[in-house]
Amino acid sequence: MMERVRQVRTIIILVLVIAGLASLDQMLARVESTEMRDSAAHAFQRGQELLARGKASDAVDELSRAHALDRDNPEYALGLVTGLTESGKAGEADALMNEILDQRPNDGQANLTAARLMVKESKAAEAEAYYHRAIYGNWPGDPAAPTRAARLELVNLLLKENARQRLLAELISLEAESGDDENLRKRVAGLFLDAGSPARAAAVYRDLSERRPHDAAVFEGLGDAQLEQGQYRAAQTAFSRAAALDPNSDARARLSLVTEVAELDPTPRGLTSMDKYSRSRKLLSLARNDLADKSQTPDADVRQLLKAADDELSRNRPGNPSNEVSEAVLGLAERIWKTRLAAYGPKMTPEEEPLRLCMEKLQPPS
Amino acid sequence: MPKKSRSGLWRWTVFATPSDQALLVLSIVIGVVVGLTVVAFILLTGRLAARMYPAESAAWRRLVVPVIGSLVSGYLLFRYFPNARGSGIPQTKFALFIRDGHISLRTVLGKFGCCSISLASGIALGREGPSVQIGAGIASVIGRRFGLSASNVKALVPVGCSAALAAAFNTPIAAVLFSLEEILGDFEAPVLGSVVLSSATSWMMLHLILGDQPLFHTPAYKLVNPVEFLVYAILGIIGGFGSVAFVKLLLGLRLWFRALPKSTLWLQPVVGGLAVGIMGWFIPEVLGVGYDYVDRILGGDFPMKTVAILAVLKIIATPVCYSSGNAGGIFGPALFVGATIGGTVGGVAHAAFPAVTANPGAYALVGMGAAFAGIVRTPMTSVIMIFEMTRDYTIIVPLMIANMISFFISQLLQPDPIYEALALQDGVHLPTAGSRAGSAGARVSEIMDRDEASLAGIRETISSHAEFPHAHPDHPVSLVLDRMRAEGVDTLPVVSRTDVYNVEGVVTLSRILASYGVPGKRAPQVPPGFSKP
Repeated sequence: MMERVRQVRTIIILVLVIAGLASLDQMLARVESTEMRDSAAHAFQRGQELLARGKASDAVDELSRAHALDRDNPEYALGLVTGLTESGKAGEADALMNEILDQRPNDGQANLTAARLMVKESKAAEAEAYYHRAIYGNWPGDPAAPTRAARLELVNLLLKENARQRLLAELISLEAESGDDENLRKRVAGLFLDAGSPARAAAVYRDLSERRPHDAAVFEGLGDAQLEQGQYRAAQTAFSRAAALDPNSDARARLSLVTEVAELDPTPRGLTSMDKYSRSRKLLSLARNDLADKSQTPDADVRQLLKAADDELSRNRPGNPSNEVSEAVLGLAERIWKTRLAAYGPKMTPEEEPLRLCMEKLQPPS
Repeated sequence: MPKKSRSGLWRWTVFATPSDQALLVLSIVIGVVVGLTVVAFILLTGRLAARMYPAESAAWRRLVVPVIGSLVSGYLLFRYFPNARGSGIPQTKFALFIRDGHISLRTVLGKFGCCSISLASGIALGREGPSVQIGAGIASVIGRRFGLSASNVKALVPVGCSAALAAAFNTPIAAVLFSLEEILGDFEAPVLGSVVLSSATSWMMLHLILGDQPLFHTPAYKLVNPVEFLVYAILGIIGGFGSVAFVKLLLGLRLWFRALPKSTLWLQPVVGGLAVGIMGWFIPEVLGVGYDYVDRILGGDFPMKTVAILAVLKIIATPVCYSSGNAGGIFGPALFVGATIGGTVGGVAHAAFPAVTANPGAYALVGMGAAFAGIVRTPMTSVIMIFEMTRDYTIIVPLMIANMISFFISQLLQPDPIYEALALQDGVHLPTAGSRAGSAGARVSEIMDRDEASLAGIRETISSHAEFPHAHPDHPVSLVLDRMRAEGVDTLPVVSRTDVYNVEGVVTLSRILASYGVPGKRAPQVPPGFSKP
């Protein structure tokens, strides 16, 4: 009997010990979890600060610590990837990134970080794929803002890569997603312009000009879009409005540019044949001088073109030259301009801007 | 009828005469209690350490805290818990083979308290060895409280060990292997089922409380080039020599400390505290268990120079801390030393041949296994443990290569495994794997001559010999026959395992032959220098 009592007492003690230990463990685990999360948060904050100050390798120490203390926090893991990327440890960043993506293949933020890593490693195609996965991935809460931000980053990448078709596709989506966000629409309009789609840019700017009639930047953008489209008169109006709204803006300079281009343009309807010939000669002269300035040691083709231009410019045509003569002069100017673009690329100085605008109106870029 | 039924149930439930099923139930209970206790131990030491010497604390704190911690734990060990000193593995083996599995509750509490103090104060020892003793102790206490027989209590000791190690290392399979390979020395032990069950239960407790996180996080391992196998072999060689240095230094220092006056026993742990404190003043990573740093070394984000310095410092710090009598184990430090050696070898290899070698982290991982195999000398456990810790199967082959090389070098240069050597220093002869292998058949205790008149002369003779051939009462007769043949004698004194000068009997060839039913004819031949009984 005594033995039984003793054994029952042992069982009761064991149950109490198990309950006590379980409670103690839970309490200690909570304390540990809280302390480690706090330490991780501090380390992460310090890491982010160091990263912002450009001290990437110091930041990596802190970000590694944050990640080690709280491995379940994807923000810390992705922060570490960013730190490693910034500090040039692309291999380690890749390995960690793959680990994260294995665990969260559809995570928007993870894919966005992977895309940034690929951009850093100059892997544009992979970056584009990750950006798309980020855009269509899972985001906590409302995905609209982070998705738009990811698409904007993708747009910047495509702009840099000069991938116009894909860029326009993204911009169209971005414009559709922009809704009533006027700032974003303004940015999209500017990007349409950069992407070589002035018509779409003008449409967005026009819409914005109705909503924000006192925004000088909108009118300036509208003027630029119209200028690119060769609508000089409309552009002059937009720039004048912008200059009136903000006298310190670039609108005045743009206005004088558009005036200069309008005076060079040989295409307006109602222009007399003499005026057209005269503007054609002016354009030829500008194109010739531009190419001659750029080519210090011209090759045979260039020399031939320059000689043809010199011959044409020295020729004295009495009376009213016919439209065919003006077209021949413009044709020569176009050939010179093509040679100049092929040899020296599309980069222009401000002085070349009126010539470029006129030539692009005559011969729109493909 | 109902009364009889209740009685049957009662008997089953309270283990008055435990059946196999009852032992399995008890194994689950032990798994739960040990798992929860070890988790508390891990969390408590971790949280206390974070308060005692935080990462950004002043240098003086890193010096003072280990000194005070070792002073306090040293006094407690000396005054109240003498059996809680050291690692816990040899003590568990003493309990298993010499004391019929008896470990007191006082020892369990002392081990928990003293180790918490010493580990939390930065003493460079591990928590797994103590966990094993705590686990074995809990199993022993529970078994005794239920009134189990001595043999059943003894059977529960490895059950407690595996439960403890499963929770301490988060490695349930390795825990089972360790209990069988090191504690029992028998992979076919009849308690296998109970050992597995307690390990799994304890591991579940760990996961319930702390979630599913491996002890170490490692980047995915990849063999870059077959040439790497050569580097892993070199790592095995260096790991083997490092292990031997670690063990020899520990044993040598321990002998030195043991030679000091007994009155200094309570003060000796301070030497370890002071040594590690001075090292920690300059290199904080040397303090404590150091698993956070192992994690970072495995991640490959530690400068190679620091890793190399840490390897040297830890090889010195842990033996000093251990041999001076601090409470704590050598499993964790063995892994730390291995990670630093591996990190250094990997760092050098990667700097020299970046195209054909992996990140140093992979070598640190293999180094951990190599050092564990070299120091603890349980190669199977070591391979499985590293695999379970990292959950990376692809590391297995390099791990086996390095482990085996390290194990053989260690075996060659340090024939006695560390726990046997520690026991020998204490005058305790633990049964070795060889002696346990031939455990079938009659025991020496069953046939030895206990006649006091015969023994008096032998006692007098052996008192003047440092070493002499002998047998222990639990030895199988077959082993004694082998020993007689090897020594060329017909008679061996039978001595106690705890004191080799305590002669309990004498065994002769004629008695052995008689036990096999063969009549003896020759006069017995005693070892040189012994008088005939």
